[in-house]
Amino acid sequence: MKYLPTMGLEIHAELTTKSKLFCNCKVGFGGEPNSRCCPGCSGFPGMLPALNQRAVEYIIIAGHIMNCSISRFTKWERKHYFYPDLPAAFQTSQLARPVCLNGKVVIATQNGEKTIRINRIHLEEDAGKLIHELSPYYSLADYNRCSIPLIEIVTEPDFHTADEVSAFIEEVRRMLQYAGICDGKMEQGSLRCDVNISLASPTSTKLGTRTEIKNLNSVRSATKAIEAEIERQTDILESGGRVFQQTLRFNEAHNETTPMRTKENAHDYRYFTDPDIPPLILSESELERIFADIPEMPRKRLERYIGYGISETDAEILLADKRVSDFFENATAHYDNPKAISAFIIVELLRRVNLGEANIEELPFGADQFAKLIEMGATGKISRSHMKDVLREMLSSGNTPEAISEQMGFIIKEDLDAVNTILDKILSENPDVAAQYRNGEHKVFGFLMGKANKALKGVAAPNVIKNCLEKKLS
Amino acid sequence: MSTILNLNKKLIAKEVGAVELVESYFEKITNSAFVTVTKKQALNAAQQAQKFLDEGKATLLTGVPAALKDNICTNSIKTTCSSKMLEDFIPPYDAAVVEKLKAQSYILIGKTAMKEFGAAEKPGESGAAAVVSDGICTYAISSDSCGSMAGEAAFHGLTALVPSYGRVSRYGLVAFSSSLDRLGVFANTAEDCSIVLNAISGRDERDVNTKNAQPVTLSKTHSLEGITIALPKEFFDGMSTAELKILSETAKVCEKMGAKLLEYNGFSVSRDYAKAACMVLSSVEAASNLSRYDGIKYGFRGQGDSYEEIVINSRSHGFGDYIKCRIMLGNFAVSSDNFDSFYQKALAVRQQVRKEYAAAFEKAQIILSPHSLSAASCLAGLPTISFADKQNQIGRTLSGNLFDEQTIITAASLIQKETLI
Ligand SMILES: [Zn+2]
Repeated sequence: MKYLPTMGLEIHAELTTKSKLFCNCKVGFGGEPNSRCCPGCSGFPGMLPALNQRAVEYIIIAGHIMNCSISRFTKWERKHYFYPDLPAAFQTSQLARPVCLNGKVVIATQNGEKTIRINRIHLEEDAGKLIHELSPYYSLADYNRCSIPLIEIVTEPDFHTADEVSAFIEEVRRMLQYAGICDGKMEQGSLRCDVNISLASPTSTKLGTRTEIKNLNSVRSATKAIEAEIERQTDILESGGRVFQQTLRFNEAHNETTPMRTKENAHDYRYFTDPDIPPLILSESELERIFADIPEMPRKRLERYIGYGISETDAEILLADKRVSDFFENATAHYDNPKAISAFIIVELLRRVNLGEANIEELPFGADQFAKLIEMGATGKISRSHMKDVLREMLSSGNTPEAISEQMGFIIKEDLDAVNTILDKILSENPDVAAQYRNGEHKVFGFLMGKANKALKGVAAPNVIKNCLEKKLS
Repeated sequence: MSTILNLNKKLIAKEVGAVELVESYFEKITNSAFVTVTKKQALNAAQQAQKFLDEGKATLLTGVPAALKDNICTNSIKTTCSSKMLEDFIPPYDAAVVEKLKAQSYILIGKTAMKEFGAAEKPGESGAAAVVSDGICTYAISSDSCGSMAGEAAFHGLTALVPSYGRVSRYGLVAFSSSLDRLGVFANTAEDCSIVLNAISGRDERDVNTKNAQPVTLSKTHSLEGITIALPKEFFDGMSTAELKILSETAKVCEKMGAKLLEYNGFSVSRDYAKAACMVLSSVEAASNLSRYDGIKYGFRGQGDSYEEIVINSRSHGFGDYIKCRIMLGNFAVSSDNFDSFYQKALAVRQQVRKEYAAAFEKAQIILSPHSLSAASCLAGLPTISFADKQNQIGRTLSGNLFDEQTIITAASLIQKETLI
């Protein structure tokens, strides 16, 4: 018997605002514990929250790119629970009036495009981190992450396979990165997700009891957790048992989902409107201003790249990493030959990156110099095979492609006299072939070109040789 | 009785030096109204004040001794909220009001005792009112959530000004019930209250609910011409003969000075439900605000082998019985089972009370009521000034429209000059 899984997702994404949601502390990752916190985000008495307007702009952007309607009236609630990483013992979040409602995101699946509905996106603050490793007797709290602005994206239960879930996470991550509002670094916890799963028997349209797996911090672990949970629920149902509604965590080492403490399952968060944060009324003109500045989304870029004549596969490779795509954009701004630039990025630059010889974030040259290199290759200033050598040298020295080519003797000198002398020699050595061509057998041109190219390597570019040869034969 | 204005005159005229004045005040300290006496800081501040006076930079508050309720954060000075939970807590920051007063070179005599964390005080429980009443300080900054300052004013025969919600920054005021908490002033006269109000009010980016407002100016005229004072029937019903007498007299004085009196009907919700709504809302918010005291970050820490145990023991032994009752009441009223029947209802009452006041302010600029009915004006965040004479402990409260402190202080000042002083 095969059960149909139905899944919904909650994605938590940290926003890359400069400062935290309610105070002026910097947003960042790593560093000394408790070096980015103040009395405000540490829950000291007498401190008050002042909402970071930039975070509000960011969630409006998130809502807009995910086709949500943006609420004109929005407010914040306090969600209460005791935990040492939550200094005020309440988290400021949004319950009744989230900023974004009813959106949709299109993902690519093996069976074509699929639309995932977004239920809501709201803005809340992150909690701190606990450090347990230093002692078996105590834990330490690090408040650096406290109050970092976080958006929670809640989908409708529109997923039926783990692949759809992973495609969605990837797509959302990419969209947020392209919008410039979240760095999407799952390994650093700036994007995390919870999945809820229920299985329906094939004979029934009714959804089964739902469980929720919390805090999945990579696409891989989300996929594995889903598979493990589907298996667990299937086993229970097949043996005639009952699935209980509960919150689970995924144990990656054992590849199994295990229940969290029941206390957390039966919590009354005592939500009520935060009296310190006035509700926000958003005007049409404000929204228009924010929408106007939203960068192009990856799916739009994809269409544009395909329009340049780049294959869909290649375009997806460029788009997979925003930094690569941005580098491509910059390079094409300097030299308008997207196909040549894309090809060389994919074949050569990314190869160097994958080999660990280059870091896309810290290239020793700018996109303008890269564009110059492509231009030199395409216009015959240097040969294609030399382009690779020049790139490698650019990566190690940071010098300009012109200087490197000059130094290494790669510049093709267009000495037409030399070309003509050699061509004359070739034609005189092959009088029959020349005669054949002149009699209309044009296919022999390739034979002559091959000889010429070989003899003139490094003297002139192939297109120059071709022009000269054609002139001589006509 | 020494008022701010009297002391300022003496200091300017050099009849007394700032340091000498402060020393004489410390000699008066006898009671336990203070949690912390800040003699060393006060003497240093007095020297600074004297410099201001000598250089002609003094303001009306320069060198004048004051007290702060112990829920107002003072940098490097203990701020305990009269709770074991914070008995050793020393904030690394000043409240906004303290910054403003320091800029005028005020003198802090000490931090005054209070009902733990600012839960509603019964008359006589406020150290801030006591020290002004006893002449140990010329004025005190206190706080109010459900109208207790009006009661204290009546009990001690003082003047209490509770400004509009949002006129004075709450930054650095230890939160009890955020939507009701207001900083106010105990002083001997309405005029003194206006001086302090002008010093401490204004927009503060750290308290997003604050707004700028015109300073209050007291003219020399003795007229209330053009002012209509509403006398809500609902508030007057059920008053004792003594209360009725005082309020009628006050009304008559106002009428004599040119005010129009208006018998008014329309405060039934305010009369019947305001007090209960205030209790529910303040308890809900207090339960939330006080949940940060877990013994982990600062403050009293109870024993325990786990986080849960530490939190339970810290809160069980760090809080007093009454505050624990309020926390339980608040958590009960906002729990998912009771949210609609308690918390939502209290919010609805607040909405209704605001409407009743808004309707009244269509017809009048001042609402006169006995001090015991202040909860309604608290729910609406309206400015009130309450005052009484020392003998009979019956206070009158004048409520004004939002940010119209000018009218009620003017009226209170005129009434005081006409009758009390
Ligand atoms: Zn902070």
